[in-house]
Order: sequence, then structure tokens, then C-alpha cells
Amino acid sequence: MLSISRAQLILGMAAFLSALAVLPPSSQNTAGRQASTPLPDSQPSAAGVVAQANKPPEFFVAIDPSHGGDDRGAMLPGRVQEKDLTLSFARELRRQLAERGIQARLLRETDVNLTLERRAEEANAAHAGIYLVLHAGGPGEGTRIYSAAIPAQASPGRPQSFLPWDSAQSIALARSRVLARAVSERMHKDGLAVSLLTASLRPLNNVVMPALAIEWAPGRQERKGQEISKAFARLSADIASAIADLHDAAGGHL
Amino acid sequence: MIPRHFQITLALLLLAILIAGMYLVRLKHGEEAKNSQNPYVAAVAPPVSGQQEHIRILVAYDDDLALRWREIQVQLPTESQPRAREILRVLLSQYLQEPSPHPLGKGSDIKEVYLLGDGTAVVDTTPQFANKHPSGIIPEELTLTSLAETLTANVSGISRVKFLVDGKERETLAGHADLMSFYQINEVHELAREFE
Repeated sequence: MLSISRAQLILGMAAFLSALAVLPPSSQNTAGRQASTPLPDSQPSAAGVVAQANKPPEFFVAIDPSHGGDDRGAMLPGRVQEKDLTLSFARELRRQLAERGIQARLLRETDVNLTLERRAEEANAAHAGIYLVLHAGGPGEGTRIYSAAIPAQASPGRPQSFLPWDSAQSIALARSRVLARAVSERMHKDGLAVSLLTASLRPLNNVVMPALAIEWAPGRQERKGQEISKAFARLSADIASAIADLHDAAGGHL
Repeated sequence: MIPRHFQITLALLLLAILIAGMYLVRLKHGEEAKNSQNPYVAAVAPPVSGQQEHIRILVAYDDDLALRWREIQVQLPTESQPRAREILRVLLSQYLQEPSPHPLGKGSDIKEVYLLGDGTAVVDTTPQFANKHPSGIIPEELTLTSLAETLTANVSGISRVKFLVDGKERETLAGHADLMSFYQINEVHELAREFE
């Protein structure tokens, strides 16, 4: 279980470099990975590097539309595939976050294969402020918000050492649960059916920032294109508002 | 010109082939119908030798997204590993019957349960268990939680459970629930409480 995989090494290296505060966040992306933050055109000066290192990473939400490519996910009524729904949901959520002044990046923009390990690597290396993985499927109706089913670290903080890949989320679990409650309360006020649960899910267990899995189970009236879009708009508005409120309350950081 | 008697023989032969074909199709349908009525018998078959025991199984119900304990009397082997395997097969037999409270794919079964000395139980399942499992966070979580809880309720000394599919590690059960990690029993109890 505790064997060190490539991803563990990458995560550990990223944490180590962050602790040393030598490199700017953007250059901590491992080679070969698609950099989420574009690198500057010219080489910065030594003073610039230090200044950038001291500057906190830009806050953004990493939205992960689950499944994609060969992995279709669950099959919903009307032969709708989960991978397509999650992508629509993610795009709407990004739009709603942008309306509230919060940046968001999707881990996949199209119908492509993306391993669970790669998704966690992307979110960790890009230093996302929040990670949200979106799912859609039954049984039942309504929205279920999951935080990781692992023990929370006793004194959560910035990672200073190597973390076990399988339970990396433990460092941010307390903040994840605060976020879960905030989103749930917002949906509840909006009259939506919502439940707070825990689950052992990848890549939720492997990311080091506040992270949630949000699963939408369509009701009987939400099985056609227009109704699905309306449901996503309402859910996304609630999620985005909850995040914007928490972000403002925390002075720009969670 | 084909002789008349030859034409009659040929017609009779064709007729016989047609009747035999129809009979075969009927036989096939009958067999399929029988199989669908009783899709899985292996998991409910009692062992040749063993003792009658009272066990508790945690059954998943999809209709109300719940896990409920049931008490059941079964004949079990006396050796610990075969006994653990049979207990889980009793639970799976609940899911494989018609109607099922939590349907699983045909052929879902427990190949082996390994009880390691350090409190680890390794549950090896058939490929169909994962390949035909309904995809979704809740269905997958209910299956794994009910298996882990049933095992620990009836076999003492288990502190964590690892699931394998056909002897190998797999990333997720059906796209959601994590199969790479060990399920720590304390955490599984918490998960189960969410659905009880």
C-alpha cells in the first residue's frame, strides 16, 4: 500500500520544493505535463524569482469532469452517458464561478481518456485552491456531496514532507468538510435535495487541497436536454456562490 | 428432369431438418429461461461438510439507499479461510437472486478470501464482479461496505480489507469506488453508519 509510485514521488517533490520556497509555482510542474499556468516568455531575475516564490499561488478551482474517452461512466436514463453529463456540468460550473470572479480550469475540455492518477497529479502540480470532481448517476434523486473517507490529519497545514499517495487528502480534509457543509447549506436554502456523505474515491483521496466529489442524480423531470441544463445551472450557481462566499471570508484563500 | 420419388425424399428431408431446427431453438429458449429464473446457484450451495451457524450479513438495498443487518442460518466449513469465503458468498447470493435488493452482474462471486496474520483480509473476486457491476458511487460503495462489514462481523481479528479482481489489483470497482487502497475497518464502520 505504501509503495512509492511515480505519482507519490512527484507529489513529494512538489511539496519539498514548495517548502524550500525556491521556485515559483508555475515552474514546479513536472516536465512533460501540460502546464496549467503558462510560463513567462523571458527568464525572470533572481529577485523576481524570490518575489514570485513569496507570492501565494493564484487561487483557482480545478474542476474534474469525471470519466471521458473509453471510460463512459454510468449509463443514465435515455442512454445518456455520465462522461457527457459531467463535461456539461463542468462547463456550466466554470461559467458560474467566472461570473463571481473565481477562476476555474477544467481537467479535460473534451471527450478524452485521462487516468485518475493523472487527474490528481494535474490538480496537485497546478496548486489548485479547490478540487471538485463531478459525477452523475443513480440510484435515487438529488445531489450528493462526498468528502474523502480517510482520517483527517491531526494538525493540517501546508505539506512539508512526503505524503502517502493513498491518503494525501488527509492534510486538507478538515477544510474539505467545511467546504462541503457550505455547499450543502447553499443547496438546502435553494430547496434542493442534498446529502453529505463520505466515500473512498480516486482521485479525491490523492489531492492535497480542499476537495469534494459532487454527484448529481437526475429526478424524473430532469431527463431531457433542457431540463438537465436548468438543473446544472441551478446546482452550479449554488456551488459557485458557496465557494465565492468562503473565498471572500477567508481573504482570498481557503 | 429429377425423378418424382427423389423430389419427395428431398422434400421430406428438408421438412425433417426444419422440424429439428425448430425443436433445437425451443430447447435453447427453455434452457435460457430456466437459467434466468435461477441465475446463480453456486454461491448458495452449502458445503459438503461443515456446521450449521448463525451469521449476520449487512445487505444493501438500492430502493432506499440503505444497509440493513440480517440474521441467517447457514452451513459453513470449519477452516477459517473457506468459512470467510462462504460467508461472503451467502451475502452475494442475496444480490444475485431475483428480485434482488442490490443487483450484481451474473457470475459475480468470491474466488478466495485470504486471512493474513496481521489483521488483513484479502478478498479476491471474479472478473464479472467488477466488469458487470453497476457504475456509480453509491452502488459501488454499498457493495464494498456490505462485504467488508459482513466479513468483520463474522470473522474476528480483521482490521483492514483489500479487494482484488481475478487475483489482480484494480483502480476502481466500476469507475468510482477505490480498489487500490486498503479499507480500514474503522472507516468502513463510519461508511456503514451513513447508510444504516
